Order: sequence, then C-alpha cells, then structure tokens
Amino acid sequence: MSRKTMNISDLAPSHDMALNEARTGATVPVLQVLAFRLAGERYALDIQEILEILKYRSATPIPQAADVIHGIISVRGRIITVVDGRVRMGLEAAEIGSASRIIVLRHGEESVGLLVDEVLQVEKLPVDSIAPPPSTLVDAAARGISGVCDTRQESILIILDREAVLKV
Amino acid sequence: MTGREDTRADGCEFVSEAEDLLEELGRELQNLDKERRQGRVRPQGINAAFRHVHSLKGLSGLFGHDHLGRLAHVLEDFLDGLRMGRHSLDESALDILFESHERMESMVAAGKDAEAASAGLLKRLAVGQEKESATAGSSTSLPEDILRSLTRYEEHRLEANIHAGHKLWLVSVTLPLETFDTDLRRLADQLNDCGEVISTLPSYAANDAEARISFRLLYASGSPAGDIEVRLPQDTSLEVVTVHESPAEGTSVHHEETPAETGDEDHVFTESLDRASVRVPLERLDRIMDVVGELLLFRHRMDGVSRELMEGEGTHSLGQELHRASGELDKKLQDLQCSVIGARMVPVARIVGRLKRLVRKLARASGKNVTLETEGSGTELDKMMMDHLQSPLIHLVRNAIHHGIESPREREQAGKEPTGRLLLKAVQRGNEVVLSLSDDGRGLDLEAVRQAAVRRGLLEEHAECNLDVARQLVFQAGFSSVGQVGEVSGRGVGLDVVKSELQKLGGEVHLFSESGAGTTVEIILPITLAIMPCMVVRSGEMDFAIPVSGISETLRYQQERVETVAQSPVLRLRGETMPYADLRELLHIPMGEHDKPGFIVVARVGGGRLAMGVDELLGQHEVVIKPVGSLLDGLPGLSGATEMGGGRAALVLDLASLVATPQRMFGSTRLETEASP
Repeated sequence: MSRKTMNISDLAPSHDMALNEARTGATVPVLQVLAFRLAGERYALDIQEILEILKYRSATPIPQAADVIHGIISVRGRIITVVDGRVRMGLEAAEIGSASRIIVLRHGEESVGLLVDEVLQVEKLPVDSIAPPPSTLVDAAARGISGVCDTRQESILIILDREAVLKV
Repeated sequence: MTGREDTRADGCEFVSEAEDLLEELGRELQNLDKERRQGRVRPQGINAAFRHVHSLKGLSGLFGHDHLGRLAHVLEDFLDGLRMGRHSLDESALDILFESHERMESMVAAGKDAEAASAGLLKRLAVGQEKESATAGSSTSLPEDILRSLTRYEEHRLEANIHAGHKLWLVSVTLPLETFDTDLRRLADQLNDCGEVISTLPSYAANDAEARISFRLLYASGSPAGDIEVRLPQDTSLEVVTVHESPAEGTSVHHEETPAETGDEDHVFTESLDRASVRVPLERLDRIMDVVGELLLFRHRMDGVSRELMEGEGTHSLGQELHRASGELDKKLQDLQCSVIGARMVPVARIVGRLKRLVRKLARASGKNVTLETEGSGTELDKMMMDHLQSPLIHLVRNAIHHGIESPREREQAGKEPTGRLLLKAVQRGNEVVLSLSDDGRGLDLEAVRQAAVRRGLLEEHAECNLDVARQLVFQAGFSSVGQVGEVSGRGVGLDVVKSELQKLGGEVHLFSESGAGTTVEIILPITLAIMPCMVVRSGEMDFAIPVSGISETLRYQQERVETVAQSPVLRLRGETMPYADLRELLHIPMGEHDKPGFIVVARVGGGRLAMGVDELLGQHEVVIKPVGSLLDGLPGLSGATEMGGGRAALVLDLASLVATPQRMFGSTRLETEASP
C-alpha cells in the first residue's frame, strides 16, 4: 500500500478517465488529488490516501513534542495525532480560522491528521502534466514534495507524498 | 481481501492452540523430570506427552506448518518408543525432549517461515527407534473382547504390569450420563494414585431408561485389595473382579456385551476437559472495552443533561427521573466493565511453566542446582500484561541464576543448602498485582556495581556506593548495555531494560538485597491497562489523567509547606520531606497566568515520593487508555491518551518516566528512597 518513492509516471491511474479521453483522444492516466491551502500556497495529496476531512476541532497540545505536532484529537474513540501542515512545509505555525480543516490520512495501521488552512477541491491531473519539483524549490525531498503541476489557475499546485510528509 | 483475513484468523487460531498444547507438553515434561529424579516415573505422564505431540502433529498438518509437523512426527515416534518401553527415560532422553519442546516453541512463534529443525536434533530423536520391543507374551484370562480392543500401548502396559508382578483388576462402574466424564476422571485419578488404569472401555449394553453408561476399567496395582476398595466411591455401583493373580492362573470374569471399537485415540472419555470455555482473540475484547468506554462517556453526558433538567423551570421531575435512570445505567455499565476485564484475565501460572523450563536449562548450563517455587500462581493479570511480563521475568530469572545463586560448592562453604532456591510470588493488592522473584544467593555485589558505575561515568571515581545508591544505579539506562555479553557487572545486567519495559505497562520495579542472603526484585503492576481509574488534573490550561494507583494523596496548595532546601523546592508533609515541582515545569509548558498552583498531588515514583503542583483537580474518572500514535513514540512522561467527551483528548501521564532522568535522580532533586528493608 505504501510507496517508498513516488514516481510521477507510475502513479495509479484515476478511475475516471472518460473525460480526459474525450478531450485528448488518447488514454492518459489521471491522478486525482485533493487540493488545499497552506499560507497562501496550493498543495495537493493523492485522494486515495485520504480517509476523511474534519472541521477543525480543538486539539490537545502535547508538551515537549516537536513543533510540527499540533496536538491530538479524538475521533470516534480513536486518538489521532495532528501534524501542523504549515510547520511541516517550513512556514510559520497555523492560525486557526473558520476554514481550517484536518485532513485524516492513513499512516500504516493508524490514522494521522494534517492541519490545513482551507480545503479547495478535488482536481484531476493528467500525469504527464506533473513535473518533478524544480531545483529552485528548497528542501523539496525533505518537505515531502514529489512534484508540481501548473493547472493554469492561481499558483502552481505542489504535490505531496503522504508517506514522506508524515515522516516528521 | 477476505481470503487474507481468513488466513490471518487461521494463523491466530493455530498459534493459540499450538501454544496451549506446548504449554501442557512442557508441564508434562517438567513432571517427568521431577519423577525421574525421584525414581518414580508415571507411565501416564509419558503417554500424556505422547498424546499432546500427536495432537500437535495433527494441528500442524491442518494448518500446513510442515517443519513443525515433521519435528512433531519424529518426536511422537520418540515418545512412542519411551512409552512402549523400547528405550528408557534417562537424563539424555529428557534433554532431547526439552530441546525439541523449545525448538517447537520457537517454530510456533516464527509461524510458517520457521526454519526446519536441525538435522542433529532429528537424528538424536531417531536414535533408539530400531530396538525391538520386548514381547513377553504372557497369557491372561482376560475376556477375548477386552484383549481385542486393547491398543498396542495398552497391551504393552498390561505386559509391563504383569511382568512387575502387579495384580490385575476389572473395575465395572455405571455412571449417570450427565456427569460421567468428570466422575470417570476422578475415579481414574484416584486409582492411578496406587496403580495404573491401563484401559477404559465403555460398554454400550442397553442400560435401561436411566440414562446411565457403564465402563470397565482394566486396572493394575501392587497394592492389596483393601487399599483399592477404599478409593472406590460408595454411591456408584461397583464390582471389583480379580482377573489375574499371576501370569498362569485365572478366574472367570464379569462378562458384558460387545465392547466399543477402540483405536489409538480412545481417550476421549477421560479427556473432555474445559468444554465450557471459548477462545476469543484479544482484539475483540479490546473492541468491547472501547465500546464500554464510549458508553461510560455517554452516561456522563446523560448525567449533565439530567442536572440541567432538574434545575430548569418545570422540568425538575423529568430531570430527576433521567438522573435515576442514568444511575441505574451506570451500575449496569460497571458490571459490564468488570465482566469484560474478567474475560481478559489469565493466571500467573500461565508463564510459570516456561520459567521452570528456563531455570532447568540455565541451571544445567551453569553447573548450579536451582529450583523454582511459586506462591499465589493463581493470581490473575490482564492477558496483554502477562504477555509483556514474560521477557522481563526471563531477564530476572537469568540474572538470579547467573549472578545471584552460587555454585553448589560455594553454597556449602557459606553454610547453605547446595540447591539454590528461586521463589516467584504473586499477590493481588487492590487494583495491583505484586510479583516478586527472590533468590537465596549472594546478594548485590556493591563493589562490582560501584566499579561498573565508575567505568560508565555514572559515579565519581571515589564516590561511596551504599545499597541505596546501588539500587538506583542498576536501574539506570545504559548501566548494563555498555558491557559486553557475559561481562559480570554486579547484579545490574539488563535491569534498566526490565525497568523501562515495566514502566511501559504502568508498573514499578524495586530491588531489595542483603549481602550473602539473596536478592528480591519486586514488580508492581496494575491488573489491567485497558481501563484505569485516573485523577484528572488541569495544569496550564491542559487536562491530564494520572493513574490513581500512583497517587498517594492530594492536598490544597499552601505556600508555607513548600521550602527551598539546597536550592531545590521540597514539600514538608507530616515530618517527611520530598521533592516538589509544578507539573507545568515538569512538562515544560508555559506557566500562564496562574503563578501559584491550587493543589498538590503526592505521587509514588520509583520507591520515592514526589509532590506536584497542579492548577485544579477535576475528579476521578474511569478512563480507557489508548495508545498515542507512532509520531509521538518515545516522548517522556506520556503513557497514552484518553477521550474526555466532546471529541477532546487528555494525556495520561506516566510519572515514573517523566522524572526518571539521571539529573533528577542524582542531581539536586534527588528522589527520596525508602529505607532499605
């Protein structure tokens, strides 16, 4: 289930290729991602890694834990650790607002939450439109960035690898 | 997907059944070892071992565990040789048996990927199989139908008994159908005390409408008839018929109709043990426990609603009714909780067998004589705790034999019995179980501990090392791990590991030692980790749960109680002085607006006491402790988290790991230790 390294070319194709096929006339595999915002930038994660999206609920902070750990929450009897997405990307700590969400991701046998400023929408990206992270992107690998995609709207979409992101 | 889950469930079933069989086999081998040393080996014991191995072989076949199956097969032949008298049960045979048992244990643990047993072991097991069995061929006047239905093994036992000059009896008994299995087992046990039940034959002769069943027991004994008659119960109809006085003469036999077909597996009647129990995977009980925990939270919410209703205009009586109902619900939920916890309990005896085998092995390897005795092995603990307790106990036993107990010669010189004694004691004390392992060896070697500590930089070059200091040193992280395997460092080998493992279980460990007289390691564990009564406190706007078992008292904070001694704060309480710290400081959380705490929690930590200031006490709750995720592994002071209702989570504190850092132990806030016993 977990990929060690993410190769853009061998990403799982989307179930929904009809639209894409109609447009290009060829079968180009599509990656479905969930786009979200962190401090103004647009990021995305493979939709298949996402278990659910929660409205922000007050998390219990963990004394002495690393800054990247936002806290823990209880979801239907399970304790979930919440990682601050902004801190993970090297940005300043999250400000909680009414749009704040916790994206619950699978992490081995457990679930881990990723705190984001805002959830945008699900995007279908033809895999040939995804480029490897440009060299100008500092610490791309350490931050768990696997690629970028210019969707011709707003800023460039930064695509994250779930496993690498949760290696905190 | 389902296919994979099935395999996993099968795997679980295989492991737990195989473990049970191996446990019984181990117990049987233990008895045989003891009996051999006393010079009185019961043939029933060898036969029981044979049957367990036979079942294990069947089980391995069923689950496709080939390597285990092969070893069980060869071992079965070996045991068959023993029970048929083809070779005798001597020391070396027992060694092979114990070795095979150990090998099978590790194979079961490794699952299907287990390596095959070594060719050497298989070869040693195969030795002696070629010998012909000595068939004496003496004649008896046993009725043909009985002779025909005897198994090969039973024939052998018959011969052996006749050869030994024992008398043979045919005991006929008619028992009620509902209780015959237990009655029969009891009767067989009693008869086996002074002889041997060679065969048990059910008889299907129409026994009228009374729902009773008849059996004939072929019995051999060297005791006089009177001794046997007293063992036979009065209330069942019994006839004792002498079949054979000596190999030559015979008398007629009480005759009955057609016997049952009996094969090698004809022991079903005496074996129907434990029919009333069910095997349940621990995960399922965990799930039930979670649900109970959630129900308790709902109950809490109901209580809150009822209170509001009682205070509201015109809803007072409605609120009262809801309050009553919620009280009833609470009682039932607590019953449920107790039952679920009860279902998870297993007796300490479960691990005793393994420890005894370990003692035997280690003692032999080190040329020492050691026995392991137990007290209170019926004391129960959560299955999960018991599983995790195993490796610390093995560690302690190994320590005791390697470093505590002296060689037989040394012991005699010291005026002790040549055989060293290990005692494993288990006692329940409230919500805790106290396990202690004592040896009567040489005790903690203070000088060796001191030297090892100096070498590791844990102690100043010329520092004194009294018993108190040594007791703390041996538990220090890194005290033993630096040393090479086999290096003798006083008695501290691996105690730090033992301590950290027990702390993970919410337990404590203490060491008592008297030079020349022995060492005792005491382990205190909560009975279960699944649900624990906790005091919930608030500190720096955060809520924490502290297991009640670790709290000795709580009191209101009073400035004048806290003093500064040698630059660190201490609390004076009824003449006792103990280190004091604000929980916020301990956890490095900002002090916030409250500069003075409201309450003090006095906790028992590692044999000493520690006073902690907290802002508020929020009351005692039964909490279901859940693991925090792997991202938070290894944070000091944290043993889990629990749901507090409304999606909020509170941290469960592990005080021992919070304060057990070297600076705190030996620095300015050195913990108080109890006076040595």
